[in-house]
Amino acid sequence: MPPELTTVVPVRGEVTFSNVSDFDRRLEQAFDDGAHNLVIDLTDVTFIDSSGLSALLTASARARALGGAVALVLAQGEPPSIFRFRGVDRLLSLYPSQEAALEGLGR
Amino acid sequence: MSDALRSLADAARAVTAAATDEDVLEIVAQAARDVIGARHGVARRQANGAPHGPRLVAPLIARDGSSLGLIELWDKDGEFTASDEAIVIQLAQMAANAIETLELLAREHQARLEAEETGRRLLLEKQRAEALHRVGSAIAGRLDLQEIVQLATDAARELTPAQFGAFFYNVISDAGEAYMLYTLSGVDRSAFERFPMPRNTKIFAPTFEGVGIVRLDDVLADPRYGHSAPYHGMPEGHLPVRSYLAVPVITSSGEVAGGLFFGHPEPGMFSLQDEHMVAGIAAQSAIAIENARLYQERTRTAQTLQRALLPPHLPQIAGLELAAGYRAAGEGNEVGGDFYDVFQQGDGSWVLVVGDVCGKGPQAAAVTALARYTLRAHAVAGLRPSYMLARLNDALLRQRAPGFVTVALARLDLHERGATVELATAGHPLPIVARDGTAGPVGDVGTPLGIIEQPDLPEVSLELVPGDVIAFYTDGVSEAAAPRRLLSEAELAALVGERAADGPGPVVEHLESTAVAIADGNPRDDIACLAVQVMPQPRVAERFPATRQAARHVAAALAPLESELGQRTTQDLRLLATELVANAVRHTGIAGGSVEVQLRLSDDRVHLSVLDEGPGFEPPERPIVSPEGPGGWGLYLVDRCAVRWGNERGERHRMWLELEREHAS
Repeated sequence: MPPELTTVVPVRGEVTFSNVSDFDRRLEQAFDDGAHNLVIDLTDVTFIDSSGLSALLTASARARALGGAVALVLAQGEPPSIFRFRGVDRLLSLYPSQEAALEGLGR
Repeated sequence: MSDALRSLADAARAVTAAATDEDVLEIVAQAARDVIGARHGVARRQANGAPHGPRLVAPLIARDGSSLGLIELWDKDGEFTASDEAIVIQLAQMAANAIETLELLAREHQARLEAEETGRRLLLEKQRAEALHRVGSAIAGRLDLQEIVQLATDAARELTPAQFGAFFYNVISDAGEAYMLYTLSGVDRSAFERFPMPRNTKIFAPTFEGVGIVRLDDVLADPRYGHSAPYHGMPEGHLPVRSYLAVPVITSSGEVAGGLFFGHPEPGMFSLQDEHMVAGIAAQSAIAIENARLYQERTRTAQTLQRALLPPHLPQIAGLELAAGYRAAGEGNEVGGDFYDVFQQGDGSWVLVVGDVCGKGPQAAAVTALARYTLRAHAVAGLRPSYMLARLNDALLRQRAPGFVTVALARLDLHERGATVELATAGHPLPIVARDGTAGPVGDVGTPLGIIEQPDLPEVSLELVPGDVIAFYTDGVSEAAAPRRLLSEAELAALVGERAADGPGPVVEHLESTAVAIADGNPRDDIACLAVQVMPQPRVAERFPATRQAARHVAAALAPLESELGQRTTQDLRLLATELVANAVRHTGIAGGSVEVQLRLSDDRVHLSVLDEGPGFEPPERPIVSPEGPGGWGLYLVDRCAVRWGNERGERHRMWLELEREHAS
């Protein structure tokens, strides 16, 4: 997998319906710039609501359509509570670090 | 045997085998001529004009002496002799006997034919009468218009040679507009869908104007056929109608409710009997349609009136959770006498009232309206419950309202620790208070209203604390299955106690469904319940604009509770509150709308309410399955995480949920 096709998107703070459109745009931009794979680093994210989750799933679907994938990096310990729900982990690939995520994508 | 005797014997045999009297007469005339040797001779039923001259005449005499004709011989060589005469008389007798026998046989045959024909006709008539009766009772048993017309159309088609039939009928919408519908038999609806409704053409007019029955052996040959634009006859693709039978359906008031139309592709199919059959079915249908309309009208009136007698929705009161239920007895076509109401008084206190007006129908409705509005009218004054009931008693007596009214009325003053309740009951079942899993009746029984001046209306006072439920009901609950089975006060208290922890909605539902169940689904009277739960003072009550920025307000509103609730609960709570607020913002859809977040804490649960000014939404079926795509996660998270949740439409739309508190062990 050529590395230039994989983009790391670091996110900070909170993703809610108030600011999800900015988040959406960043992910779209990454694809528009040629990425097939995204590593979305949520280590420094404290809160995500279902609109943020929706943006992640939309990005994941777009990556799959391009033959790529989306990998999420979550903080260890207390990740945003939405990731504790059954069903969420089934649709997204979760990793403890950027390295693990990149390695996961390379497999 | 001489030739003469042989001829006579042959003739005797022949006449007994003859089929008609002409044959008989021909045989005896032939025999007479042969035996006697006359060149001319006839036998006939009437006298004849034989030429003048010598002749031998013998009458054919029936057993009763009447003449059946005669044998007449002439033109013989020589004189007619005495033995000629004897022979002719013999032949005449033979002929007379034979003719009489033939006539008898013919009469018998005719009589048998007639008897058979009569029997056949009677049987047919009986069958038709039975069929008509069957159809009549089937139709009369229906109260649904669509069912009636379908039954009538099917029956008439089956009982006549019709190959297809239609019933065009007039209906009046809820908005009062008249329009025409139709039902079909023997043909698929698609066969008619492309055509406009039949109009007042010359063929149709007699039916739609109720002038009379139209029965045509061949509609194409009728002078009235084919004159009206645009089709000038049947439109292309129409069923091939030749035989045609149309009967108007006319109500007792003379109004044409519709018409029954039947057709057959062959000419000459419908008889007068068929016409009578369809006319009979039309008459039965007319009665049934009238009944259906009256019933529909009555149900509509009752429901409209009933709605007007109950509050359209309960108020949303900070510090109280309310729920009410009303179930009309039977099919809801009668206005019941039960009512409930919740309203605020001039001094800020709240009044809860449940009552029961004796009787049913318009009179009970009038008294119910009087009761409800009299109580509301005194709300400004902020009176004690016993005073309010006394005022209502005065109003009922002043109006000389028939019967009496029982009422339970509570006044609630909300304060920091809960609510102070003053309660008076006038001949009404006592409300039940539930606290910490135990429940029992409260109050003191007073006099029903509308009977005597100055009724005895004892008042009791009690304190309710957060979590307490007070439930009011009418005797429609306790006596739903009376006299077979009554629900005692203790049983009702137990029902309230079982559900009190779940809030007032489940309490009302439990009372109602239990009453309905013990009455096998058909309670004998109306059922009204009203339950109220005192809620803890809200720890959060924040109202902010319904905009995309609202997520930040949620975070700010909940932040102060984190130390009390623990990090995990606070995180879950924040997620769910954000979801509810996102929903509220999405549904509000009006500029300047607002969203309010309310939070209450009990020992083991967090109660979250989000109120908005939008129209609300129909919640999906539960449990909500895990979404596969990017949408639908909000309510899924709520359903997964909350102990209970729901939404309701009141003055504002409110969505609420309850979350288990995490407890440090």
